Amino acid sequence: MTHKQFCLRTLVLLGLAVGLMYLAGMLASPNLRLSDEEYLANLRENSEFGPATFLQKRARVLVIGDSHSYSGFDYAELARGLGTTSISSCAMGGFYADSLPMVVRLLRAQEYHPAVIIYGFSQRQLFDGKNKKAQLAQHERALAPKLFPGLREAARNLWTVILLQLDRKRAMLSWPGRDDATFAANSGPIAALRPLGAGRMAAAAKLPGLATWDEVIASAKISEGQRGNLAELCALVRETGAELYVFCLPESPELESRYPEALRQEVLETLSVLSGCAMRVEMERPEAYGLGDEHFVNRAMAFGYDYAKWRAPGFKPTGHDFDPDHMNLVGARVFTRSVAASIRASSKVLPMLQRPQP
Amino acid sequence: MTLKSPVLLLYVLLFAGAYFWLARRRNGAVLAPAAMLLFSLGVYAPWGIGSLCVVLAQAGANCFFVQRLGACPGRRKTLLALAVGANILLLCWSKYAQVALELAGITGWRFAVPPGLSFLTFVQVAMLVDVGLGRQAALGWIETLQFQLFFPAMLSGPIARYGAVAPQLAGHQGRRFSWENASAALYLFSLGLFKKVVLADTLAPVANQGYALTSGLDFFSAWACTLAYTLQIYFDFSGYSDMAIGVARLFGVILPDNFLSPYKARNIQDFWRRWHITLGLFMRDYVYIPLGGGRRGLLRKCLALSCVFFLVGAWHGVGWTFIVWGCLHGLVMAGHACWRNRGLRMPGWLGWGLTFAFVHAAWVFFRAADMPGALRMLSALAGGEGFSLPTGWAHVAALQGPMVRFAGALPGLNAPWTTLALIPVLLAVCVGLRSSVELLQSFRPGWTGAVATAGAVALGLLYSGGGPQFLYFQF
Repeated sequence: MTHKQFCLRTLVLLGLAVGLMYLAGMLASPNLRLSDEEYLANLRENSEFGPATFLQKRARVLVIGDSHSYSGFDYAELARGLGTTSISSCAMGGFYADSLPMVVRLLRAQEYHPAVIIYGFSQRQLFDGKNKKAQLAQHERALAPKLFPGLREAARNLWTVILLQLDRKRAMLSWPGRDDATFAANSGPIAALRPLGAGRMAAAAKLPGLATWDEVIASAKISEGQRGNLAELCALVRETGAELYVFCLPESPELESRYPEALRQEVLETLSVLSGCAMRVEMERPEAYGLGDEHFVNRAMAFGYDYAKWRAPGFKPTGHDFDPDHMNLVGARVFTRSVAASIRASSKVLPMLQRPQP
Repeated sequence: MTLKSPVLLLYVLLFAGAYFWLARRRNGAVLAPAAMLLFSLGVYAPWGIGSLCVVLAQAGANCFFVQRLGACPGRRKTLLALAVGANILLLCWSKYAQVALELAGITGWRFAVPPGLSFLTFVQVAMLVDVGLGRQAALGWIETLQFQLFFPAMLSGPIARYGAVAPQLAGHQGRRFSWENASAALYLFSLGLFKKVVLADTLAPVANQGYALTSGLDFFSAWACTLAYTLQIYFDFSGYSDMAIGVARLFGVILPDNFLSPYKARNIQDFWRRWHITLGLFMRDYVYIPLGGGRRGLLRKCLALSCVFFLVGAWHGVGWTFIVWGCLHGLVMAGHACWRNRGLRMPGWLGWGLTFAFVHAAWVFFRAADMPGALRMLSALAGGEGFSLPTGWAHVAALQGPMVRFAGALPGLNAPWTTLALIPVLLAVCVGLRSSVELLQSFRPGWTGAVATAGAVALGLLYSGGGPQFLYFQF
C-alpha cells in the first residue's frame, strides 16, 4: 500500500466510523436506558446531562436554572417530595435570565409543555458578567432546536450511553455525594460543624471564590431587558397553563451578608415580574431554610473529608474546602425538602400526576 | 482551542489545503509563511486577546533582538544578556507576580498568565542564545516569528531549536505536500489522540479522587491513585507531544522527539534522557554546561545538577511541592553521578525497579496540592494509613490486625473496575511495548495500520467531548 492509499483509506474508514457513530448517537437516548434512581442522580452536579436529555425525557416537572440549581437541588429528594419521578432539568452552568427566552423558544418549538416549571433563580442571573457574551452564545448553541443533533451532541449521547451500559454503577459513583451512604457519612459531621463562627469565616475571606464574588457584587448592576426576559417565561406559563415556582437558590450566609440591601431589593423588584404568573416566588435568606455556612463546606462530598480541621486554630480554608455559592449534598437535601413541601402544598397539578417512588 | 478539539482538527485540515495551495502560487514563499503565522495566531486567540498580545509582543521583541544579534554574532553580549534577562523576567512575572502580590497583602489584582508562556520563553531564550553566540544564523522576520509561534508546539512544546526547525519552516521542502508526511502525521496524531483522550482521561478521575482526599486513604487506594497519576501524566503529555509532532509533520516540519518510553529507564539519568527530552536538552545546553557541567570535577557536577533540577521544579509551578520534586530529582541525579564515578554497577532489573519506584514516589510531590497532602499520600503508600479490606472479610481471623480495617476495598476511589484493571495493563504497555517514536520508525502503510488509525481517531472524537485539559497547559 502506498502512503497516498494509506491516507485515503484511513480517511474513508474514519468517515465510516464517524458516520456510524453519528447515527448511533442520534438513536441513543441515555435517559430511557436508566433506572429512575440513576437518572435522578445524574441530574445533580452535572452541567451536561440535564440539558442533553430534558427534551427526550419530556418530564411533567421541569427545572430551569444555573449551576446553583444542579448543585442546590437533590433531584432524588425532589422526586420523593413531589411524589413523581417525572422530572427533567435544564440547569446550565452560567445560565443568565437572558437565556430564558432561548429556553422558552425551544419549549415552544418542540411542543414540550411541562405541567410544573421550577425556575431556580440566583441573583447573578440578572447581572452582567465578564464572560456573559460567551456563555450566552454557548447556551444558544446548546439550546438551538435542531432536526438532527450535531456530531458533538451525537458523540456525547453515544458516550453517555456507552458509559452507562458498560458500567451502570459508574453514573452513581462518579460523584460521591450521589450516594445515600455518603450523605449519611457527611451529614453528621456537617451538623457538628455548626456554627463555623465569625473568626473562621473571616479567615476564609481571602478565598478566591469570595474575592471574586466581592468583585461581582461591587460591580453588580441589573442588565437592561431582564424584566422582559422574565416576562417571556410568564407568557409561556400563561399559554400552556403550567404551574411556575420560582425559588432563589440560597448562597452561604457568609456570601449573602455581602450583598447590599439596596441591591437585594432591586433584584426582588425585578423578580416581581413573575409574581403575576407564578404560584410562588421565594427569595429567602439561607437561614430560613435551616442552611448555614457548613452546608457549603466540602461541596465535592469527598470521602473522609476532615471536618474537624475547621475547629483547629489558624485553619485557613481553601477553595476546595468552601464554595460560597454552591450547596453540598447535605445542604441540597435540606433545601430541596423545604422547596418540595412548599410546591406540594400549593400545587393543583401534582396530585394528578403518577407517583411512583424513586 | 487545543489539539484534541475536533473543531481545530477540521480547521487544521482545511488550512493545510489552503497552505499548500498558497505555497504553489508565485509568491508562495511569502504567502505560505504569512498564512501559517496568521493561522497560529488564530489558534491561540481563543485563549484571550490579552494573552495573544503578550505572546505576540514577546515574539516580536525577540525577533528584533535576533535580527540585531544576527547582524554581528558573538559581539553583542550586553544585548544578548538584556534579551535573555527580559524573557526570564517575563517568565518569573507570569509565575510569581500573583503570589508576590498576595504575600504583600495586595488583593483585587488578577494576572492571567498566557498559556504556554513557559514553553515559548524557553524556545525563544534558546533561539536568542544560539543566534547571539553565532551558533545559528538569523533568518528573516516572518520565518523567525513563524518559528516562535508555530501552532502545534506553541502551548506545550516540544521545545524546538531554532537551528533545527526554523530552516524547515523557511525552506521550500516544507511547503510541498507529501503523502509520506501526511501518512506519518495521521499515524502519529492518532496515537497521541488515543493516549490522551482514551487512556489519560480515563485514569484522571482515579488520580483526582485520590489526591482530593484529605484523609481516609489506605495502602491499596494510595497505590491505585498514585500509579494512575504516574500513567496519566505520561500518556497525557506524551500524547500531546505525539499530536503536536504529528500535526507539524503534516506541514513537512519534523519537531524533536519528546518521549522515549521513560518508564523503561534503568537509572535516573536514563529517565531524563527519555522523559520530556527537549526540556532535558534545553537545561543541559543552557544551564548545566554553562555551570561547568561534568568538566570541573564531581562536586561541581553535583552542584550543577542540583541547580538544574531546582530550576526544573521552579519552572513547573509555584509551590513547595514542585521545588521538592525538582530537588529530589537533583539529589538523585547527583547521587547517580557519584555512583557512576566510583564505577559501581547494579543488575538492570534492580536499576529499573529503583528508578521506577523513585519516579513514582516523586510524582506524589508533583501532583499533591500541598506538602501535608504529599506526605499523607507517601505515608499511605508505605502502609502508614492502614489497610482497608472488603467488609465481607471481617470474619476472617487471619486478616485481623491493628492496621487493618474493613471499610471496603479502595475507600474513596469511586472508579469502575474496568478503569482500575487498566492500571496494570498500561504499566505493562509502558514497560513492554515500543514508544511512538519507535513505532513511527517501523511504520509501513497497510490495512492494519489504516484500521487502527481510523479507529483511534474515531474513539478519540467520541471521547473528546469531555475530559480534562492537557496537564502541561498549567505550566
